Amino acid sequence: MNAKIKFFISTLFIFTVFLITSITISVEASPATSYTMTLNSKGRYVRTQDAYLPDRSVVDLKLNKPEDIYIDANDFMFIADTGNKRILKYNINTDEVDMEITLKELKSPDGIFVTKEGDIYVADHTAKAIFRFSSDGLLKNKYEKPTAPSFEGTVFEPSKIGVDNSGNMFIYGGVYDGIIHLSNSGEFQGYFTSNRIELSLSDRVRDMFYTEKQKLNLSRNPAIFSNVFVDSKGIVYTTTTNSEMYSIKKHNIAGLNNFSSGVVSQSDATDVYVDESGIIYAAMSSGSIFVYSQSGEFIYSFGASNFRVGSEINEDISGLFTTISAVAVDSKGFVWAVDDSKSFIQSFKPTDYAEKIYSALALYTNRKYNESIKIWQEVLRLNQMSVIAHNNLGKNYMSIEEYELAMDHFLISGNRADFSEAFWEVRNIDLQQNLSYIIIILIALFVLSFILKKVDKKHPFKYKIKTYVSKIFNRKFLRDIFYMFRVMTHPLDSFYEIKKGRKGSLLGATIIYTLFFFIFLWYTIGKGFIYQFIAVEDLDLNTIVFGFFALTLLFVICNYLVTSINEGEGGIKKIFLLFAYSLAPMYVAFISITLLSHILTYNESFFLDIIKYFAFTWTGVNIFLGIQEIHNYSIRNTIKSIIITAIFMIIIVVVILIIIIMWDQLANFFIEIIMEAIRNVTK
Amino acid sequence: MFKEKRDLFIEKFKNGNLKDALSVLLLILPYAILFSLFIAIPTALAITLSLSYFNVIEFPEYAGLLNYITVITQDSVFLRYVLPNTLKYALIVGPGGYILSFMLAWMLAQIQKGPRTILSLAIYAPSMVGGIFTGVVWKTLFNGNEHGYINALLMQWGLIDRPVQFLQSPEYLMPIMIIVALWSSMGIGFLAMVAGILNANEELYEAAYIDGIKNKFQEVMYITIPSMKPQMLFGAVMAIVGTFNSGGIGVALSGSNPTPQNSGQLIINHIEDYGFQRYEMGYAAALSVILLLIIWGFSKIAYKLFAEKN
Repeated sequence: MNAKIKFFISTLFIFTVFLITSITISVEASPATSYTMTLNSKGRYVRTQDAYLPDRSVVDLKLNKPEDIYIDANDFMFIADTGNKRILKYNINTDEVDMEITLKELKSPDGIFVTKEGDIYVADHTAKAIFRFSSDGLLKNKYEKPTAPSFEGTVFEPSKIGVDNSGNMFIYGGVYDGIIHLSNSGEFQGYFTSNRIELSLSDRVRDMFYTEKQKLNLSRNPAIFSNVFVDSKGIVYTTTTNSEMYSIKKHNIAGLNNFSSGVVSQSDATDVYVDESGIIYAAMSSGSIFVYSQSGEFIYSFGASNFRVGSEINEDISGLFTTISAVAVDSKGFVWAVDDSKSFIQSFKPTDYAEKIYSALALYTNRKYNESIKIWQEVLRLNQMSVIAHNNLGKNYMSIEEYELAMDHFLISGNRADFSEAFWEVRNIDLQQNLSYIIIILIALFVLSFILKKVDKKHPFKYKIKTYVSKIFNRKFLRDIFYMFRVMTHPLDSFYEIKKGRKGSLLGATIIYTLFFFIFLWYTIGKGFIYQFIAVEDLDLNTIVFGFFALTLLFVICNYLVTSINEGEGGIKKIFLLFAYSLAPMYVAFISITLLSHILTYNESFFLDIIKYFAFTWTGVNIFLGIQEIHNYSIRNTIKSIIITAIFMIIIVVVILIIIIMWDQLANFFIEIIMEAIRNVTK
Repeated sequence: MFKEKRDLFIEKFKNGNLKDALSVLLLILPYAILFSLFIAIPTALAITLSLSYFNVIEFPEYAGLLNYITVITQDSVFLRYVLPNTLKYALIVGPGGYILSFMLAWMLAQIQKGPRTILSLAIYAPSMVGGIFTGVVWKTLFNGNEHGYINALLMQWGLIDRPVQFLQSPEYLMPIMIIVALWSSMGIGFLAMVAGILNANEELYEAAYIDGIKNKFQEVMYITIPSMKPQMLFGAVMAIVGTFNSGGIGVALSGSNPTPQNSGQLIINHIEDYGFQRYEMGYAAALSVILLLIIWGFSKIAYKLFAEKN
């Protein structure tokens, strides 16, 4: 009977589980073939709603290693069909080839750009020239290597090109010197921008010792550009390989990088495309497409590589790539990407989620903050934790002076710098509103102290209070604890008293030390949002606690061992006392920093820094004087003993690590033997 | 009635009370006149002006506390940049320059007379020549093109690939101002300290060594500083006043007031900006009164720390 019921229940249970999982699976099913990834508030990649779904795969154009595409305002796609030495004009909407340019002189057209007027610029690195065609495919100009003396000796092998509204050409040509800038008549104007050589430490050391002759043999080259693009406003964008932070750059007219603090990217950027509203699409060779706002803010990335470790054949799944060579966006917002290994073109259709984000970003740029807020809130409904939504909501609220709401959103998105700005405004408003009260209270306090002084002269009561208070504090352990503030202000005298055993006690020191630990913990986890860089849940408390106590123990023991053989007079107890009693400046600093960090913005961060450095130096000086006094050392011996103590501490840590590893080995060895024995016995 | 008073007066004069009072008054009269002419009256005028709206052309118009309220509630440049900048600058340059002065003075006191005189003159010189010299020397050093010494050196070492606009970029101006101010902070306070250290009684040191002082540090802590407290106080007050009033550096270096993005804007610059560029004298006067209060507050702290307790 019982067994039957059990069986029934378990069947039911399994059935329910099966049902639930099958439902969830059906919900999860999506036409997307790759995850859309974004950053969470802690800067880690997380999955978000699908922003793009794979749409069409154009495979029947008989392309051969196409290296570049460009889509004009009328949704014609120009394809640089490099392997077939031709240019194709392909109508996206009708799926037909409209025009084909084949020219004898075209040898490997690998960069293409179309101006607003319809002129087609083609960069050909084998023919070493730029070709300019009219909109009906006739050759208008051919720009060959510039004759300017400053360009002499440089190779001209243009492979990517961007053209601004007045016909200036920006060319990437496989040279390290940078992006070549040609005027509309083909004259060399100089290098528009260049990458700098990053010297590693070993390079610098080598530089110091090498002779001039040896230096000539070193090959040092900056990270090379991989592409160049000019948007409809004439702003130049470049991509750089082998540089993760600066892989996508937006240049000002002087060629400097507007994204000077770097972007979220990968190190294999191959192409960049910017649509009418300034959204930046960057293709990574490995198959992902990264999307950024105008200001370089990472929105999300999608697409993936079809290469799987262990599988020989790359599966043909739409939306996955072997290598992307180029990316472009049409007027409806569809993203088109070219795979030059498999020679096909893939389009992606933006989802509602993506379109909402773009329209909200555009509204913000056009200063329609209230409309923008509305759309961002819809985005939030789709994804509660969307960092970009919270960030931009915050920015919009800042613009309409709703600072408290802005603070809330910046808090969620983890944007500390903007949170600080919003907080400054909120604090300023609060201060202004309460200013009259503050002034009244201040005046009242001043008057009160004045009256009290007068009263005190006639009927002395201060003295009575003082004696009463000192009676309360006149207990041994309280006096011992508060002695640390005396140490802070008069270290030389107080350490002498401690040494003689007249002041301070082990109990007092232990209480000071334990209290300090709790204050240190509070300081580590309890600061205000903008100064608390690691969230409480991400802290490794074990390490902090263990590190705190182990370090003190190590210092006390090592210092004792070192000084006892060097005529030091202090014992372990005295060393611990000096350490604990030296901590008073840190007490004051940690408490005041933790409290102040809740009311200060980045604008005033300097004050926290100065408190911290001041306290650290003060404590350091205290410990130094303490060691000197307790061991009765001269200054030179004190310095010597501190250095030896530090070295000894490192040695001990290393030895302990070695011992732990060896014991681990030994334990493993015995466990193996016992296992072996058990296995033999049970056989 | 009148006669009674006259008799009382004569009697007092004969008794000597009034005689004393009059002679004291006569004695301090020259100083009192000069002090009130050049310090007390201008200060009082500034305080009066700070309660008015004054644009230099029309007669000042009484405005009550409006200027002060504006400073605290409306002037976001003041609250956002000027006040934090001033405090930052003062907290580093004040104590920093003071400690530097003392250390240099002490080191100078340890060497022979000849080199000491030359060296102290050399150290004192920057604060004597003041603004113009600062402009010439430091502007050349931190010049924003590749001919500036620092830029040239950094480029030669390959640390930068294009010159840094040291004096025009907000992130560099403040540190440079602090360096320059520290360099020129060995002023009159420094000379007073040199004199103070040299005047300390040699016998005290000998006695202290007999009593068990072991090193120079203890000597400084137990003998030198206690025996030169007046000079220390004088140095501290001079450092505070000098620091808060030395606002010209930022403007001299960057060549513009306001300094780039208000990065080096101190209260003095703010006062100049309002007083002599916008001609809002009333507002500028209110700012100077606030500066006066700040200096007074810090001087009080200095008195608490260094004054003799008796």
